[in-house]
Amino acid sequence: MSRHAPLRSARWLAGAALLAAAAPALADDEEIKQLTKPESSARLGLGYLSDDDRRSGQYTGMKDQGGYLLLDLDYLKRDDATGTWTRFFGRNLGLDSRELRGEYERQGNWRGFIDFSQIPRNEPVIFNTGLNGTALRDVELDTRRDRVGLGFDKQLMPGLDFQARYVTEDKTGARLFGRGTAEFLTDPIDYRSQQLEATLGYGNEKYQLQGGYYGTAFSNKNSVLDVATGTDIALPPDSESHQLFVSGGYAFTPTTRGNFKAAYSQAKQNDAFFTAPTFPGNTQNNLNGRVDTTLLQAGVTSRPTRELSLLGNVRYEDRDDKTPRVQFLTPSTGRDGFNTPFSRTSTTAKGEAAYMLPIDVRLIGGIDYEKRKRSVLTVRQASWREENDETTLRLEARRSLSETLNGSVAVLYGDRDGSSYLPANNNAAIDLIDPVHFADRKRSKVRMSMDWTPVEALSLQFLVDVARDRYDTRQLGPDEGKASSIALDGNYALTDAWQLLGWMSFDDNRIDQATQTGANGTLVPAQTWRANLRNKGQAYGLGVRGKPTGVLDVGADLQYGKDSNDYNLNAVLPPAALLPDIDTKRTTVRLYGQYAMQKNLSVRLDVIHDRFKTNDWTWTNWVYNDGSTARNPNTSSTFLGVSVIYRMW
Amino acid sequence: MNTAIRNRLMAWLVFTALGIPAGAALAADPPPKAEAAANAASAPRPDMVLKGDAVCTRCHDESEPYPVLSIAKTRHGTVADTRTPTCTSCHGESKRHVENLRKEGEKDRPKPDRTFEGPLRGLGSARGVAYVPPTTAPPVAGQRSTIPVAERNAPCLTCHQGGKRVHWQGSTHETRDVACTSCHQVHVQHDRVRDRLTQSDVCFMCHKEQRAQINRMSRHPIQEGKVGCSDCHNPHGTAGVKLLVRDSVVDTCYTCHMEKRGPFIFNHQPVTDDCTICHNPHGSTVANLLKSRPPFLCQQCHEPTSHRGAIPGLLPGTGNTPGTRGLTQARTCLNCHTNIHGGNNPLNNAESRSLRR
Repeated sequence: MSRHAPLRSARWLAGAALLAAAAPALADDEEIKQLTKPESSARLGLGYLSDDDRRSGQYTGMKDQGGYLLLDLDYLKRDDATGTWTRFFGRNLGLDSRELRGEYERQGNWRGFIDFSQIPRNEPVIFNTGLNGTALRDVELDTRRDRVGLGFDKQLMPGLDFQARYVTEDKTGARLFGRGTAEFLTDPIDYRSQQLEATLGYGNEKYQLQGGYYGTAFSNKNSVLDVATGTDIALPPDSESHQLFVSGGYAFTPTTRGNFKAAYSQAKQNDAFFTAPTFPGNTQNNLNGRVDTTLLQAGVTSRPTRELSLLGNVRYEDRDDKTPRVQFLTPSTGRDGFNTPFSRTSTTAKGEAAYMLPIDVRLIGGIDYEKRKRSVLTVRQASWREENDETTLRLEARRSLSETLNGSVAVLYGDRDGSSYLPANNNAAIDLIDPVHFADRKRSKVRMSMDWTPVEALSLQFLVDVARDRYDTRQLGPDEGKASSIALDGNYALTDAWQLLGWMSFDDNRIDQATQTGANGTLVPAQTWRANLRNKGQAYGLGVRGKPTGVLDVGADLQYGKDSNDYNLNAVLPPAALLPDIDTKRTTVRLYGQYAMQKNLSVRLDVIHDRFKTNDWTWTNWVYNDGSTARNPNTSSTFLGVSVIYRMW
Repeated sequence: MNTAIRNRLMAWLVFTALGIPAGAALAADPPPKAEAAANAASAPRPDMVLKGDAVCTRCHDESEPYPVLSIAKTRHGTVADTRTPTCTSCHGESKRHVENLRKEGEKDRPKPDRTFEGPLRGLGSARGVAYVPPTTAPPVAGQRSTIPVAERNAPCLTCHQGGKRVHWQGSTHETRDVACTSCHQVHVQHDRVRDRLTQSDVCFMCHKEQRAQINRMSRHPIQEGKVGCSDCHNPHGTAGVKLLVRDSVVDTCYTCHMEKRGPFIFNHQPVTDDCTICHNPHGSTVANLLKSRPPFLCQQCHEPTSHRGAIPGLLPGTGNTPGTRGLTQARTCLNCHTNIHGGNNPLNNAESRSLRR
């Protein structure tokens, strides 16, 4: 692949000079226009999917066998005299994953836009049920998000900008739900989420400041799932939040800069209960839920010398759940019957120094500190810690200013501990598990990366990441976690017209954990059992891009991934009960070619083959109490698309 | 075929016709005569796009690996906007480059004062049939620049310092030598990193683990371009954690999953704390982006009282008897604990507290 070419330009100009009469010195007007005017394009075509495929078509809008309309538009026009842009963009217009955007802008003055995006989600698992009293039938659980966004920007005066964004999204459909040990239910989804953000910002060379409002509102048309017998299921309640924020940056000197953010939020949930509380004396008709969150952050970066740079950052976040405590339930073991607000305060600090050694290697040393403090409930269902502290030390060496070889090596060591444990159910005798996010933990990590261009045509990237978590649990719970990943990327330019790209990656994640079968909660070593869980992944990608003639572009891709879940249980179980390992494989092959019939008109062919195969036993032989079943089918499908692309200048 | 390419081809043909080995002619330094011709090309000529660009466009055009003229198609080429930069705003006056003022012993023409890395070495997802406008530059091999990153980023920060970039200094990307042009293509109409469909290809140049994760069985629609990395992360720096667009993990997730926010009568503590305690947002082999399959996931926190320490297995039975399917299959623990993110049922029923109703 060619490098930046001023010198080469001079070379070919030299050659061209020998042919001064034959080689035109300047491009003609039309050519200049095509090279410098914003370009528009549109695609129109037809596609065909060979088989039903809810897996690869989970989000594409193409899940069923059959034909599809391929229609896309990218219209962009600029009035050069005024800098006024008009843009219409449409993608997947013939599919359920369509998106549209219209934008009008006077650059440097104001801009407005409206956009629409549709996201289908098709549950790949297919259910067979007689829910609602029908005969057994296949049910496909799908959801869809329909999002509309509005935006407006205005430059009020040099440096002073106003920006407003509004997004409303409706999510409809159904998802898998359940009740009791094996009752098949679906969750009716009919949500609306809205977000509004308005920001006023001012900036000059010395400082930048912005402040604004961010508000959200959630509403659910269904407040309860009314089941025929037994207790109904409450569905997510309406809620809202309001935030005021201010943030900014200030250049104390040309080499020292500070930044900050302060924000105050209030979230409320006072949606009416679907029914009145039944605990005697509780007359509330809603929760009166309220959570106030305060964020304060400040940081300074400085480069006192060309070689040395320093960084300091502190952050404080207080999430104060002010929801009043009211009794809803009759107390019993493990509960006092009151609602369960959770508050937490998080304080983090970061310090870092980087020094450039004479050999163009930058050494970076850093320390991170985090303290998390939580409110304490009177009675807790799991072991609890009021406070956790974690300190992490980092050391890194980087070389990043070479034309051929760059890389880094980083090591990290973190130590987390905390306050005394408060036992689950207030009973120290049955307090065995240290929760994974509270437990004492020593984390070590090594990361190496390399970016190498041995010859101009070839570039390689190599990355290795190894991490280990050692949980210093008191008795049971997580014991040890390990994670490693290796990735190699390559890019080779065979010629100016042909390019090969490829990558491969491997990862391996493990966690060893222990619990026990004894139901009364006291530690019985003979009843302890362990799980050594492992998730291995391998993925490969290979691609070729070519331009065999001036009018033909071709390409091919092959991607393959295999994931394995190993369930190594150190437990006594009959053979029929053992959990087989799960392998999931996914292969995609894509071929495409695009032929330019004329400068502004091309015809394109796409062929994509997708294959998914798994032995996941999640639904195998599973039968709900009402006879409902489910299947997670292996899939294989081929998509064929033919389209024409028209370009306009 | 554009003029520049045509010129180059013709030059090559002439060298060949004259019996001059073309490779040698193109590889070697230009002979004095040819160099004189090149310098002659520096005669005054009109600007093509930006103010004062003639000094650059007399040699550089669209045939470069990193296109030059197409900057005119971008916001940086809108000359009606008085803020629009010129070539030298970013690349410097570059007198030595323009006038070919070589130092003693210097073989090649000096480079401009400020050169930038060419981004993009990634291979895009093979699955997408979604439309990528032809104005999107293809993945190209990256050039390396030996100019310190801070110096390369300086011209960008001259204008792009406030707003969502106010926390750039001190951010992970800034302190780890990521240049603006490591991700952004300034000279092309359609910047890959600003389109959800192609954005992740750029991010995966460095974030390889996530590239593998987004292909797993449970995932966000990233490869379809319906969710982009920047929907959750602000790569330019934030006051929150992990460069998230909102101030915390939960607040970021709530932007799309607001129904999990509550507060509920009965909350599940990790839900209020950090969604990533249970979920891996980049992809998982377990449904619903869970980090581990229940009941193993739940057993990482919950005491073994009652049925909670039972060994999962595939023996018949849909209840919570040890070794049976009821603990292991379908939604496992969530078969019963349906409202795992929090329950708002006000009835005096024990099932409400355990997030079953």
